[in-house]
Amino acid sequence: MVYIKEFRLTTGRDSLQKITAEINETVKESKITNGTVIVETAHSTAGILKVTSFGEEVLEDIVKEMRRIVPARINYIHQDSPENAAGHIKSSLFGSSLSLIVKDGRLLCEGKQEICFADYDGPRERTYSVCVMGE
Amino acid sequence: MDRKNYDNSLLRQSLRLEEYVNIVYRNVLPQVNKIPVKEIWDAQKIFITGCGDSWLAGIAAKPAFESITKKETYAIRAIEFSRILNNKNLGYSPNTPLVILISFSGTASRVIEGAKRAVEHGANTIAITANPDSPLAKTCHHCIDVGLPKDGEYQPGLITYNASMLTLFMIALRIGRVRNSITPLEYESMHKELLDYTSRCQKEVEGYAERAFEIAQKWKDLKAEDFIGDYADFATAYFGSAKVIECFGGYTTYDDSEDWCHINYFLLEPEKIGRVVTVNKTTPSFGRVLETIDAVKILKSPCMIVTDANKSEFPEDMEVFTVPSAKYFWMHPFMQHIPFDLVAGYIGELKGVKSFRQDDPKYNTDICNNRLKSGTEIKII
Repeated sequence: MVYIKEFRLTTGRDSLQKITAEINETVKESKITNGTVIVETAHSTAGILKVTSFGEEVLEDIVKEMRRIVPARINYIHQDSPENAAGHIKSSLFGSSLSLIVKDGRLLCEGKQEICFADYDGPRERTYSVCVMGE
Repeated sequence: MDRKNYDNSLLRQSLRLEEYVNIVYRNVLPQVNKIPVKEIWDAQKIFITGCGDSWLAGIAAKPAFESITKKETYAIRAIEFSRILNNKNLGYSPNTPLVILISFSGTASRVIEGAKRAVEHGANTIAITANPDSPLAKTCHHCIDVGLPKDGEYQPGLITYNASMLTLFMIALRIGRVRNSITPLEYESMHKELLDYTSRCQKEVEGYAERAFEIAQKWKDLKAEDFIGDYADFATAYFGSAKVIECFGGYTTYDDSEDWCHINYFLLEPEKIGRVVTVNKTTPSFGRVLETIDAVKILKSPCMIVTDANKSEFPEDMEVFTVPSAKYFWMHPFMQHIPFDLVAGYIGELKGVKSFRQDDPKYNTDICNNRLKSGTEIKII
């Protein structure tokens, strides 16, 4: 069985927004107890990340470190804007989809890790999709 | 009197404005997005220059630039830019400015001279023109062709004024996007509002025309028209004043609400002077403009007010044109010139005067190039 749901959200600048609750909700709605979940965003300057649920400061560190690795420079060949050009690279490097395991009707990572929507060129109106597959 | 017998160019242009705004928008967007990020990042200040309506478009767009880009912006007369402005403004690193030069023909002598001067001193330059093969386009580092259809009706200037202003707004948005002085959400919202605001105003033009014709009949024999507007609305006041001269060679003056109270207030025979006030709810000096309007009432001048504020804010016997409000204050000059443009167009027709005095051969003299033809050489300073 396959169950797909789309979500909308308004992001902030350099935002990592937790979406674990929405994914859990979708798994419950799907009534699938064992299988996999794919979370994906089709935006090219956004991403889906799995991070530790241990403290907000880790999220801040992740955002800052990403900026150090891929700074918003003015000399990218893609000339939309420095933030946008860096955003495309971050999206490619850090990924725009995740695969997760569902066991006994729950995410295997539940309680230990959070799923986040990352916007590298926000704030914007964004979407992501959750696809639950299994039995 | 049947309004249909007094058709005129400004009316025809107003009725097709949305169509032309959409054409320019589609043409300009990909060109504006090619302005290099480095040049936008270099710009420590912004100069906008041109002659006539082109310069007025710069005045109209200055609040947009300041609000969106957070950069010092100067709408400067072509003669001042080309001959008077101190060189230190034009290229001392790291003070590299962005210079935007506007000429639809691309052949305006003083604007070309300004472009040469800016390039020679190391400034980054962008031409806004309808002629990408023109000397101005070839002198500047970048050319934005507004892409207006060649067979359009553009005199007296109305669509060209909007095309210049729209292109300037879009450059400001590009700068804001690149420099992150506006968020991507604001960027998208402002782009959308440019077209939505145009559409809302376009729906009102037929109604404006009806009232403009009534006012034109009452005002056609007045001695002069006097325009009042502050900050972003000052461009609308100035543009209206220009249309008085272009459409029927009338006497006219313009000022902001403060200086008007110090100077134009004292004009002789005020009851024979039509006063045109542009003011919006967001105008920072709204209260001062209301005081000015009270003075106009005491003087018994016929008065027309273009505003997005409630009619009840103004004296009852004044002609209040309540116009749609824009989501962003800096957009108001984009559409608020239309009501008086229509009045000017109708007065010209009622008086039987041809625009730009084409009914009199002495106004066809080539006043710009006489000395050049006799050998005076322009030296770039």
